[in-house]
Amino acid sequence: MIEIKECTKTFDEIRAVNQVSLDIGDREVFGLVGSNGAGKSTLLRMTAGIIRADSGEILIDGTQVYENDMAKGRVFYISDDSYFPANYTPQDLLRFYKNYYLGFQVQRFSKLMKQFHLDEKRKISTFSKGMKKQLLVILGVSAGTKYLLCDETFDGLDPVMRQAVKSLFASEIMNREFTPVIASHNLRELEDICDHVGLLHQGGILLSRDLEDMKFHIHKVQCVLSDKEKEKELAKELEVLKIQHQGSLLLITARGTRTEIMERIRSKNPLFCEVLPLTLEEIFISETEVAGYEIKNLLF
Amino acid sequence: MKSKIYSSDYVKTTSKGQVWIPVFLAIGFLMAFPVSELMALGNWFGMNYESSQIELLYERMWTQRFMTAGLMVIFAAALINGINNFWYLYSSKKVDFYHSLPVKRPQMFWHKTYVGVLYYFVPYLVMAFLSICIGAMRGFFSLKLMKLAVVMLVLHLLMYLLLYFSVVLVICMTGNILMGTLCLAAVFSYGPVLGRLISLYQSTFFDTFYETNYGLLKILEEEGSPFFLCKSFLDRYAYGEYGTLLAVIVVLMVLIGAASYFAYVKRPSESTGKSMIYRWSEIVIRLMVVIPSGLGVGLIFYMLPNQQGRIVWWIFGMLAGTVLVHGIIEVVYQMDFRKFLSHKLQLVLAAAVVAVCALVFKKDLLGYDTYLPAYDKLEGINVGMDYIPFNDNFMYVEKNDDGTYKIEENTWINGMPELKGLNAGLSQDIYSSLESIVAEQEPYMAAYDDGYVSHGFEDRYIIPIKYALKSGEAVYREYRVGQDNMRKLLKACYEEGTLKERKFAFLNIEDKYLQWVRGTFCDGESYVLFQDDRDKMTALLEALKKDTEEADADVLLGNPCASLYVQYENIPLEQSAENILSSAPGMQNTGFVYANVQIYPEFKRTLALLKETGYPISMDDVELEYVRVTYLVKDQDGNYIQGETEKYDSPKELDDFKKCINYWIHESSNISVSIKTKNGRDEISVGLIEDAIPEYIQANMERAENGEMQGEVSDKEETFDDGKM
Repeated sequence: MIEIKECTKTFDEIRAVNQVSLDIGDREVFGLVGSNGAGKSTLLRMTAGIIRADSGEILIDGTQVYENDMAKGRVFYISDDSYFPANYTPQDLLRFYKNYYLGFQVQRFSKLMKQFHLDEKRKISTFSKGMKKQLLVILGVSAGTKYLLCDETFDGLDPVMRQAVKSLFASEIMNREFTPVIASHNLRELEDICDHVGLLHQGGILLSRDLEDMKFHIHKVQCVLSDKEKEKELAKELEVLKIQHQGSLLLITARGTRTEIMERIRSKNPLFCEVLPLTLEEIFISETEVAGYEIKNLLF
Repeated sequence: MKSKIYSSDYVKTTSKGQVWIPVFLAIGFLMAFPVSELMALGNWFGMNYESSQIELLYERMWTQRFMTAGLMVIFAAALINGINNFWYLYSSKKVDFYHSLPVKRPQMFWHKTYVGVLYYFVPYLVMAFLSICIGAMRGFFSLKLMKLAVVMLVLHLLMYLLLYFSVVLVICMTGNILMGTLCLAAVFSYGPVLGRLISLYQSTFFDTFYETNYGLLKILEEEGSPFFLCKSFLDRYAYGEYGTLLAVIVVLMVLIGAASYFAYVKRPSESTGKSMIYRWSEIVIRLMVVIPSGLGVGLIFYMLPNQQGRIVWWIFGMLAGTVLVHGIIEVVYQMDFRKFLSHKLQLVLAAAVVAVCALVFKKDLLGYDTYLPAYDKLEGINVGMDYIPFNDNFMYVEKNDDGTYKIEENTWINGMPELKGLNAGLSQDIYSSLESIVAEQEPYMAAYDDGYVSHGFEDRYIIPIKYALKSGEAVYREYRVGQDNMRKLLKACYEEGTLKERKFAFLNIEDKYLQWVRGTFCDGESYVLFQDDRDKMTALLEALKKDTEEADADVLLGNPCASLYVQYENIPLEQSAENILSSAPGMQNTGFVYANVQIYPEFKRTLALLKETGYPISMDDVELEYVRVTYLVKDQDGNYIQGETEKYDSPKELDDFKKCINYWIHESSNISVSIKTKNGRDEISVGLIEDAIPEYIQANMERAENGEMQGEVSDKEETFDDGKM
């Protein structure tokens, strides 16, 4: 697992990452969300061992990552704005990486290249932005590393390719020890792929939760109650995150299991009661608003 | 994790798109070695050099021609390879790419160095081998040549690594292309430029400054950058005097290599894009640039106006230069024009250092002009005599055991720090005359009145002196010396040192090389002597040799009555590549020697032979028609202009003049004398022996000096402004 312990990184007067602590478990897709400048890339670069934390430590399977070739050998980093050596073809890049990642799966690389309809002998400089991203993902997967750090990798991929990459990650996780960490400023992008999401804001971690857990413990219910008193009682009984009124319709976002919440509402004899699906975005908005942040202003 | 970055497969992969580098370097080395060799051999064989001569020249090629030509390609190779391997540090994209790879920085550094050496070494080796083959095909192949080739290879590799690591250090210390380019230029030029600046300040503010490189200035100007150090090393290597510099190159290469290694390993990836990676280096570089720049700009402003207002402009220039350069550096550092005046404390510190340096030069706080080494620290001195009018011109000649000769020009003072050439030795008399000379500098310079010399200080000789210290160092000074001190010094030098021995060494050359002797007599006329009588010519020089052997210092510093110009030709020179190349191809390696010596009344044997020619060896033998004296007076600005001119032709006056006229004496500053003989076609300038000048002439000279004589606008002006303060 990747353990990030109270990491801080400052660039001149700007504190890019501030006392961040995170655990990234094995075989889960970790989403790192945050607005521009939240510190996602810096955190990933520190995790990849490119830059050193001013304080705190980052451990890859229990060992420090900075200037540790053993630890770095378990990580493949795909940066937001990737560099490809001049005149290189995917085959050249394969040869290049083969010398660094000794578990590089050459056949898998070729197979994936075919699946993604990418020409191994074509110069990378002629690839589109999306094709370059696909190539990087294929390289990252073929490198055979346990951790794949993707910085805004889904940005630029069309929906079909995004789905293909998601499937690829899923199959990798099924077949071997593989943990992708995906940083993005777009929550919707991560919604259907991540198991766990960490939210970064102004260098600090706002929350880090398991998505299933979050979805299990937060629910949105719409109901119609007969009088205002019952609404007040309900608000006291439930761990309400948010209450909205749409005419006589009451929209409640509350923490708790579906059964617990419905039992409480039904006890107030509502005229109408129904559980609504919650998007990841809504969960985050609710959670962060409680924490005192206007997350809508931060992310979207 | 063991990466395979030293594997040939990896090198092959990473070489993609970079093959042009070894190809380009191969072309460079091809031109420097085989092509250059073929051209030289073609020339030598075509010019009918003897085979032994060509053999010598071919050996020289491996120690000089290949070394120097190779250095230029090596410099290009170091620059290209250093930039190619480490340029990625200026791009955060590339830094992320390379630094995310599972390899430690030290490994990455050595891998890149390995590739850098490989790209250089393979084409080098191929072309050097080709040169050896070409030589062998033309018949030049020996163990000695092989040894020279191996030595060349090792020395070039050392120099390549020094230059390569210098480039790498600059790239690892800087964060963007602009700073990298500026710092690269600075690394390869800072020392020589700083040396030149100090030298200019010394020549401007120190009266006794002598224009030659020695000590720290020599190191700065000739060895103050990695490239110039290599160049200087090669110059010395060609003459076999390279031991110390080789050690310096090795040590410097290791130091710069270690510095570049640590700068790379410790370099934070996130610093890419900043001007300087390490904050401390910003301050050091700022001060290193701002202080000399302030002084340099000040000096430019100092030079522009005339005497008046120079100091004010100098101060203005220093202030403007310091602020301007500090501001420019700040703007470059921070890429923001608004930061022009930031770091004010450092600006004030730099300005203070500039002020202190300026004060040191202006007030000579380090005692440059009054410097005289302690007697017990001196090994000896050399005296430059090129500007001493009553001294003779000569070349030093030494015969070798094999019958060839070694000929040296009389410019020995600029030679090596060791005491070579005219070693005047050291004695209490010499030291005491040096003390007098040093002591007379200050009153002499104080005698300047707005750049023009005051009365009593006009008749000065400029002599450079080299102090050879027991520590092995040499210190040079140039003095303005009065007649008395000049004679005192020369007398001591004749008595103690090798001046006399070297001056008359030409008389030991075998007679068969003597070409002709020309005599100049006291009427100023010159004639070739004993043209048709070689025995007489030889006898004359034999007599001169005996006379000089007997002559003491007093005689040699007396008033001459004749002079001889002797020329020897076709003297066989020792076999060396330089001598071969300086001779006409196919001709014997020969040289020539000339000597201009003065004949004194005490040279009885010589004068006896000269008398036989019938030419006048005394003014009594000269029939004067008239003597023309022009008195010089000073105008309002202190310039000497022509005053009254008198013509003296009465028998009494002519008799008076005959007692004091001497053709070899330098004319006084406020009188100009010329004579016309009855047989002569033109007037000839002469000097007057001071003690024998007739009273009526002396009276006129005093009138001219006291301003009682009217001046005329004349071409003859003598200014003494040498630009010094």
